[in-house]
Amino acid sequence: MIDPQNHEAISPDLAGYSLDALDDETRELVELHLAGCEDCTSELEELMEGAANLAFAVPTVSPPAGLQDRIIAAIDAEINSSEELPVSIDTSLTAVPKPDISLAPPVRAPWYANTRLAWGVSSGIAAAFIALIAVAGVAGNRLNDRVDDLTAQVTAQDNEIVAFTASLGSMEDDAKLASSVEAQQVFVLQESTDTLEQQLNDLRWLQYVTSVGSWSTPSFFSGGLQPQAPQGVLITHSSGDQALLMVNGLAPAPAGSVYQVWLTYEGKMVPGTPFSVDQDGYAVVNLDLSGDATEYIGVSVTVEPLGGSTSPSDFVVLVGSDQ
Amino acid sequence: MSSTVSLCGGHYDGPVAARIRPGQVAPRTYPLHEVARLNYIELTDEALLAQIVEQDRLALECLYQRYSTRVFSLSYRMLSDQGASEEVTQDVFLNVWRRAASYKTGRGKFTTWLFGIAHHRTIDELRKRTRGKQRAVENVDDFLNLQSADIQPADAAVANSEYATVRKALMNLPDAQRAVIEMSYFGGFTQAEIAVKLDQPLGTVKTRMRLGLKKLRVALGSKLRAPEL
Repeated sequence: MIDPQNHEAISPDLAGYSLDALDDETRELVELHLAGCEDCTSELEELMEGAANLAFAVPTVSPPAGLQDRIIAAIDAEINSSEELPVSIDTSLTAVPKPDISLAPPVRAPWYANTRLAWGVSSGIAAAFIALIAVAGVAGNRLNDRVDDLTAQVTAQDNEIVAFTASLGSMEDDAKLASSVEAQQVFVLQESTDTLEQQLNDLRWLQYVTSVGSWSTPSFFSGGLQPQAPQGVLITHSSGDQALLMVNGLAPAPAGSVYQVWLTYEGKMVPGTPFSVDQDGYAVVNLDLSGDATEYIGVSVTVEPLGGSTSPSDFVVLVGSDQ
Repeated sequence: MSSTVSLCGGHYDGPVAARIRPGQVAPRTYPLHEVARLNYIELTDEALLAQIVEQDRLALECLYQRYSTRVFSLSYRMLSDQGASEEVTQDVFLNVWRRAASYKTGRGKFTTWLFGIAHHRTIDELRKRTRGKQRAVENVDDFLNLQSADIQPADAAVANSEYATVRKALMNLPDAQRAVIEMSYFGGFTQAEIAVKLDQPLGTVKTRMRLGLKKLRVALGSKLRAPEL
């Protein structure tokens, strides 16, 4: 049996380690040795760099188109399952529960981190959004102020949680811990902070969406994409009875006509609200739906006579499907 | 559950010009969530990894777009199995997501770390499949078929250039060093197995691996650059 500390015996295996060419036993020996040998760690970095170059020596084959979505779905599942973990602080404090003082202050994902989920907004927020568009200038400033206020508030509360958690950590006795005012304060603060954080995320989402001027900036388009092409996003509320359609880059509808949005369910075209666009070709359309908006499989925008239609014309200006 | 639909539209000059018939493919445009992704183009691999530590999923998607083809290609070359290579690629990027915090910026490039994970995971799969079986090596002198003009990368000029550069560096290695590197890295043979197959002392195989890798590193140095989105 080779001593893992025997540098002379282990170091010749570093190249094999970097090429994954060791049997399990030798690999374990090398790993034990690496934990205490800075020289071998440095040499291994060089060898690993040499080995990594080999990945470029094979002809490229593109992975299937759906693989990225599968990976993201797996990550979503992980995120969701971790969010569903039970809270470790018991509000009743009757059975000498011990607050989880090992919990670091919550690491908050950036608001855009969960983009696909973030499109869903509360009904109140959706209504507020429409109002914001109507009075974009003033509301935009109010929105920015509100985001700043909430950000400061969340930061302050996070700091308080850190301080309380630190003081809890210095207590030795569970009973004392459970009955402490600090433990209850941490709980209240965590709840309050989570609520504020949710509001903040919604407001940041709105702030982002309402910065449509930058959205239509041609610098966002590259790779041969047409900067003038109209585009849009349909956002459905999790309740399924409400959706928001945002369009950009549409020329004004011809005189005597309007645009109209259609959602496709099981082969049927369900008419949405007729709308017009502003001078920038931008519009947000609030859709109140009788069906389940989360079940749609397609969406399109057509040109229709004033007042809208019950069946779509074939003048389609935007078309898309659930991705 | 909420969902997002991106709309694709062509340039609109009026209702007739914009008419899109069923089955007609409209040019792709960026939906709003794609715009957020564009802001990440300028970030380095390491900066994206730092974002992933903060649970930023878009950052992972950007790294996926930069490197998934390389990871998939490597696995596919070694396993010759589309389904298994997809699984490996998925595992690799899930590992990046879960282990981003373990990457140490002062300890080598991101690509070294990433391809290390990818290769290790592929080797695991390869050995699982070949455990207990006698594997033949038909041509140890040219495991990658380096002289062949038939093998060409399928994608862009950058890949072509990297591909050609690395293969040229490999061809410049002494045959004996190249053989042990190719047999281990692409063939999944252990150094002990290689010693038996080549009828060489184990120490000789180890030395050839070490020298060959160091020469490769020196020869390629900064010639390979990170792909762009």
